[in-house]
Parts: sequence; structure tokens; C-alpha cells
Amino acid sequence: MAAADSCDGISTSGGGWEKTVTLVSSDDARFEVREAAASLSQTVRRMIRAGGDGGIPLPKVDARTLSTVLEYCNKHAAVPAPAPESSSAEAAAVDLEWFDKELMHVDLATLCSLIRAADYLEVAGLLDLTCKTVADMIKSKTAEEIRQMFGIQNDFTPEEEEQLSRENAGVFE
Amino acid sequence: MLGIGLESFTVDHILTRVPAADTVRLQAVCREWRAAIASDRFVQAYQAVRAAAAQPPEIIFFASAKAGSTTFYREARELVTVGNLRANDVVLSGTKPCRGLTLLFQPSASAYHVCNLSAGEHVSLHPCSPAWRDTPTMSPYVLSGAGLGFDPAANEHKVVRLYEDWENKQRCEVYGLRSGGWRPCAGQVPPHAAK
Repeated sequence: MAAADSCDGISTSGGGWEKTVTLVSSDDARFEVREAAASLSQTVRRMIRAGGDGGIPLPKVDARTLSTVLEYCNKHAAVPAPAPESSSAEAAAVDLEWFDKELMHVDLATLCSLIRAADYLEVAGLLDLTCKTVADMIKSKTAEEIRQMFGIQNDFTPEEEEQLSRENAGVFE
Repeated sequence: MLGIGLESFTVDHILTRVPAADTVRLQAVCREWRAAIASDRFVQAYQAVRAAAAQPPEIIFFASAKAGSTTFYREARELVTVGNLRANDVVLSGTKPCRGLTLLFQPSASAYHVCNLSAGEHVSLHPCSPAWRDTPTMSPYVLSGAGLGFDPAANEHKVVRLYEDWENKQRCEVYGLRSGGWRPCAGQVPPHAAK
């Protein structure tokens, strides 16, 4: 694809030729990534098709966030090794799950940056993973604990709060 | 931790992945969250996420060890046990819940129950006047039908019941789950509606 050639290099890895693309973060850091990995982002995939010189600009994602996103993409787009011995699909799935879990060991602010980036870059798997992680964090918390977590102001009037607590007692009293 | 600043799309993404039973509590966080959870957009997004994750809802039920009660299962996982409900003549109003809730009907006792199969909770509706039976001697069939729906204006689930009473009059009653109690619907019931 001519468009892609203008902004990438060709690298060898694992004995095969692999196309790479260069992604540029909001703070001008450049990341050279395998095209297969970068294409997990629908946004990047469209931009590769559209073509352009000097790398693909991603003005909504900073370098720190982008490097985590790319870590995810690289892992999930890993070329399925031509099975030496018995590295079965099951083992690969377990490994991937473990990797995802480790990747999510970050603070809430980082998680939120990742959600924003995954949404903008349209990396469906990462969006689901990050949102599920935050959902698990908040599902058993009280409204007040959640406000503290996210720094949300309680903007209900006392009357509304009373109504809410009545409603929450709700259907299954 | 302050000032993380969640945009509305982030809130949507996260809240659609919280179990339904918990979203009720999360409405109390702030106006934006409440509006997000109450919106049709949210309900649709929620259904999309759930549908993607859902297995086909095969629900089975048996009489449970406790006499006179029924237990519901999905894939060998116990969902909910409803006391006061005999398993021999239970009618499920479809396998697809309406915003999380499923309506159960026991014709022999003229009793309705609403349960949340995911959260394992249920309520028994107030008693209602029994419907006429075509053949009064122990027939399992009654001239009655019911459905469960959600009324966004009133923000509550409602059960609508059409039946024929002892004087062979067609009647329609509505039960609001929040307000409670059966009340007749306004206006005439079309003839033979309950047939």
C-alpha cells in the first residue's frame, strides 16, 4: 500500500518482513509499531488507508498513555507462533488474560486516560477491559465513596437526595 | 483523588458494565450520572453490552426443597427461589426480561410475582380478584393474560392484566411496582380482550 509506505519503515522480526507505522503522540513522542498491532485501532487503520507523511498524528493521546495502549496492541496482535511443541490456544488465552490483568494494575487516573484513549483510537478490546476494570471498582461502593474517587460534586438538593433514597429503597423493599 | 474529570461518554462506557442491580445505587452520585442511567441511550447501550456478553437465557424451574416454593435456574446456577409459588402451574411471561424484571403468574392461586433473575430478588404482587375459569372444575386454564412493561414517564415497571371476571365482564387492571396495588385501567376494555 503506497500510502502506508510513505510513513513507515520495514523491519524484520521473527524471520518475516513486517510493515511498521509511526505514531506521534500529543507531546511529539514517536512510536514505531508493527502495522498489524497499530491496526487494532480502527482510527489508526483509517489513517493508514488515508495515508500521509511523517507518521500518524494522535493529538488526543499523550506518550505515556499511548505506550500502554501500544503495549496492549502489541500483545494482542502477536503473531500466533507456529506452535513449537504444545503451546496450545488455551495456554495463549491464559497468558493473555494474565497480561491484561497486569496491565490494569494502575491508578484510577491512568485508567481513565486509557478509557479516553481507547475510545478515541477505537481499540474495542482495550475499551472493554478498562471500563470493566473501573466498573468492578465502583460496583460495590456507595455514592459518596464514588464521588470521592472521581472528585465529583454532589449537586443534588437535600429534597432530591431524600427522594433518591426513597427510590433506591425501590422495587424490592 | 480529585479532578479526574469523566466525560459523559466515559461515564456511559463504565456504567453500562456495572451489574444492573448496582446502577440503581449509582444514580445517587450526581445529576449527570442519574441522567445518564435514566436515559434511553443508556438503556440501549446497556442492552447492547449485555447482549454481547449474554448466553441464551434458558431458564428452568423446579419445586424447591421448601414446600410450596419454586427455584429458578440458568445453566445449573440457582437464580432465585420464590416462596408461595408452586411449581406445577407457573407461567413465565417470556424469557426476555423487561429492564431486568420477569413476570411470573400462578393461575391456580391467581397470584403474580415479579422477579429479577440476575439479582435473585423477587416481590409478590398484592392479591387480585381471580379470573373466571372456562370449566370451573380444577381446570388449569383461566381467562386471563398479563404482561410486564416499563413506563418511562412514571419511571416504574407496570403489570397490565386483562381478564374476565365471574360476571363474564372483560376487565383490565394495572399494577405499578413502585406505587403498588391493582387499579382498574381508564376507559372501556374492548370485548373479548381477555379471550
